[in-house]
Amino acid sequence: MNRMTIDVGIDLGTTNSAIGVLKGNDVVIVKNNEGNDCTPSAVYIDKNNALIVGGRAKERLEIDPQNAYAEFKLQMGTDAQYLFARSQQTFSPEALSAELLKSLKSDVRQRLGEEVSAAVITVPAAFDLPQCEATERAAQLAGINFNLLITEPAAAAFAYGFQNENRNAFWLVYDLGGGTFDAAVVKVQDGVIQVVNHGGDKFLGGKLIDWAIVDELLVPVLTQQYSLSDFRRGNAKYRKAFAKLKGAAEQAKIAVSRLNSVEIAIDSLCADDRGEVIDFQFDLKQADVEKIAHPFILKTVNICRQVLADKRLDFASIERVLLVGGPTMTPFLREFLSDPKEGLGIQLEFGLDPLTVVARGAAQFAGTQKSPPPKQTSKGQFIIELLNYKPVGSDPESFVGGRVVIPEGEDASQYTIEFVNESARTQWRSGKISLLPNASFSATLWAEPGTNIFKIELQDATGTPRPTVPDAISYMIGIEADNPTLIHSVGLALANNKVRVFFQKGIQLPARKRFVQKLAHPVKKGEPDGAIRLPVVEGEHLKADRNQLIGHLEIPATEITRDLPAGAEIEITIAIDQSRLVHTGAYITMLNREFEGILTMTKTMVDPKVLRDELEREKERFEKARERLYLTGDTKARPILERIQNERILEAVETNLDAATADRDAADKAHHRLLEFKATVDELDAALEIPTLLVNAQQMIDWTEEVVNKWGKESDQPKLRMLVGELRATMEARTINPTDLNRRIENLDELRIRILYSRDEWWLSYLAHLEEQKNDMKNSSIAEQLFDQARRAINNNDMDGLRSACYQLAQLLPIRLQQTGGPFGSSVF
Amino acid sequence: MQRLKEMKHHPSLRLAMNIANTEACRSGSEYIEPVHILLATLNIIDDCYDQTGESMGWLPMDFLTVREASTACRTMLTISDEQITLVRRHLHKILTELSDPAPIRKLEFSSESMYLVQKAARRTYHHGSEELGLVAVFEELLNDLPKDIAPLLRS
Repeated sequence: MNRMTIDVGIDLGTTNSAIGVLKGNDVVIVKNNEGNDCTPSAVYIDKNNALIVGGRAKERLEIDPQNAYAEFKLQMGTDAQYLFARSQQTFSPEALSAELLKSLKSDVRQRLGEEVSAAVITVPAAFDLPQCEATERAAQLAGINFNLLITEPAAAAFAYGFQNENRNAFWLVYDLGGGTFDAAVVKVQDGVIQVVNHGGDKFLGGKLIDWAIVDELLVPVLTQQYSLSDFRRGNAKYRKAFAKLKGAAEQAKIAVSRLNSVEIAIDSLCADDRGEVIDFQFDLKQADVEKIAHPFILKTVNICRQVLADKRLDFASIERVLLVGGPTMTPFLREFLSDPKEGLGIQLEFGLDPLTVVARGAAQFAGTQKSPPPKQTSKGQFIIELLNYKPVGSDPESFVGGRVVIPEGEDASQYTIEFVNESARTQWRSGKISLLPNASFSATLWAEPGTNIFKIELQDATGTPRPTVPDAISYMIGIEADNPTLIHSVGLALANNKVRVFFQKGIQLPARKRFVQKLAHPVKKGEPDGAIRLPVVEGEHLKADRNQLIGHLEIPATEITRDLPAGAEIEITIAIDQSRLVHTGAYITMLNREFEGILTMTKTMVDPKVLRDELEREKERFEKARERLYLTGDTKARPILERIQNERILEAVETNLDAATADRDAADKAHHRLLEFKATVDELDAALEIPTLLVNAQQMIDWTEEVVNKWGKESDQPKLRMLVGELRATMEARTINPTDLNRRIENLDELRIRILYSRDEWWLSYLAHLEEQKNDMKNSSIAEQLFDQARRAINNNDMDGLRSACYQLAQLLPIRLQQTGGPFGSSVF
Repeated sequence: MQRLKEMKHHPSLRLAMNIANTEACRSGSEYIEPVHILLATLNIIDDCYDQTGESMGWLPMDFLTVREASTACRTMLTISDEQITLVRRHLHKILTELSDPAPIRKLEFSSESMYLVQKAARRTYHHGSEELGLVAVFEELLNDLPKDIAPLLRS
């Protein structure tokens, strides 16, 4: 069948996948060869080297985990490799996804007799750009040469929107899948669906709850009852046992959602330290699962709240919450979400099957997208290039414009084109339209509600009909989708670890922007290791290193024809196309030369040891922030601290780091959660900035008053009154400016220090303080000499000598130098 | 005449004049000349205006209105996107090479620029609109391009 629109939608899920095909106005969810709507996203290679996808592969995950894999979607865009032990074949995550796509394509071939070469594929809203690019690659590998990516919540909204064309409302899509969570605010207005805001977490899904059941309930019981050394997820010896536990936890979790308790029974789980086989039994209670799931669900609710708050929407503005994904079928989750206090308190909508709603919506969206033009035609066929054509719209009148490829030497104006709506109740014809000399045409079509097929009739100068490709176009009066929007902000990491935001999240794609930045350091031409590095990051944080690095545009110094001084101007271009491919360019004005490239987007995995060190530093920062919160008692900062505690962000980093040595997925998750932890501590620091300054200011007033009253001169009193007055005015201002407040504190401190410096006893205590820091000093032998000099000065009552020694000792303390180029080695500011 | 003077300026035009002012200062000029307005418009067509918009304290909505004006101006040129970038850079280079840059300050329009804007305003007013946009000014610019620049903007 020759389709004019893409019409095929694929939900490429973490746990399950599905494919939908548009038939007229309806979507058919194509069943797989096992007769199911959903195909488990699992791949297995059997003893005969046959590659099996779906339910049979999923069954093998527990019994033959070295030859079966699932949940590889979460590793898309990384350099992860999956080794199938028996066949010794290695697959990348996108190659495994491609096998899944091929299987879905073959289901369509078998059931509908159609070959799929174009499709709309869904990705989680929380996916970053390298993951989207990897999904594109998977589609290409599977022979889906023309594909568009849309987000899963957008597809779900489209499926619901299709049933409610006349509504004008805001909806919230709550999409909890096996591995990812997405939330999206959708506006439906006058037949157009627009995603106005997105949010999500690519490491938050049903499988995390399964693992939490294993780690927090099953493993402690097992290690208590049996002698099992080093029984943990990261230990390769127990890989099979953990696969069995995870599978059993998943099944029991589903069953217990409707029962008070369920028995988990696993025969021959593994052997204990003495070699005896363990048959494991456990009584899983509904209350225990709910307790474990609570922080995960709370996190989803917080993301929903944030997504709404970003757009200044409250719960009352949202007509309903559309539930998507298997875990949303759990009664406990629905109750929690319906709760106005803890949850969302908005009417829940689950009229469409939450497991197939994404594929359904993707197919409906695909029906609004033009198919790629044919590459080859039969002899005598005329290609029609449709330059202005929308397959779907809310208006019965639709404008169509294009051009006919006429054989060279023929007069185009002798040809006519006519559009005929044969599907209308009474046939409608556009009338014969003469082509312009450049072979272009334009027409206004008249459509009836539903799908309209307009036959194209081309005639030559003699009135002879000529065959065309396409031979008809379709137009449907229905819901329209706005252009795709950017899910996360994209910008350039600067040398000072800030971000020059090029594109704010939510802008429509495609988009391009140019900014002029300055070189942070000189670059010598031809220097072997020298380069101009332009790191591109994705995320919403102000500090570059809190975001995801998605790639570099690097200009090696060997390609530079002259030395560039610091401050040289570089005009940087970033363009993102509709499929989210990022193109970058750098024009160096001094060289009058442009360097271009498509960003190579691969995520390199971070070494768990490096993550562990970073975590320790962040924990220290967190503790300091907590102390400051205790000191200030600030009410605005407290909810941030509570969020860290309730969502167990820190615990999530620790747990995943423990499993990271043998589990790539866990390492990636740990990295992601650590970034989240850092950003939340930043938020806490920012919230505490003014309260801390206010406490410091009051302390400074008290200290300075004490010093002036005790040791100051008479003339210091009016100065003290003036400075305290200024500081108090700044503290009591309606809007407190932290820079002003800091300056006033420093002014007062200057007065205090001046008085203290004139006191001998202060220098004695300062010397004691320096002695405590002796081990940190740069040159220990010089330090020792200076300490001797200071002691001699005290004995000789030579206070000038003591001061001089103290000054020199202070110079030996390390100065924290700012790292050049910031954490990503950026060359520009 | 009074009505013409009171005519509001579309954000796209305010942005263009701001960029033109900067370009004029950087080329050491005493006045904003039509060539600076042309260069500013090419900057806008070529997506090179966000930094100026940010410095003017613009909100995302303001940028959206500029996008529409930029698309409209783009359709008036028959050269490719790549050629527009080349012309913009070339023009910027030759202007900045003419003399030393002066510090950025507020400059007045030259009499030629004044005449150009007035012509565009008059035409806009006759078409019944009370807001002068970049598109109208660009149309006037293209109608009366300096002889040495005109060939650059032809395909």
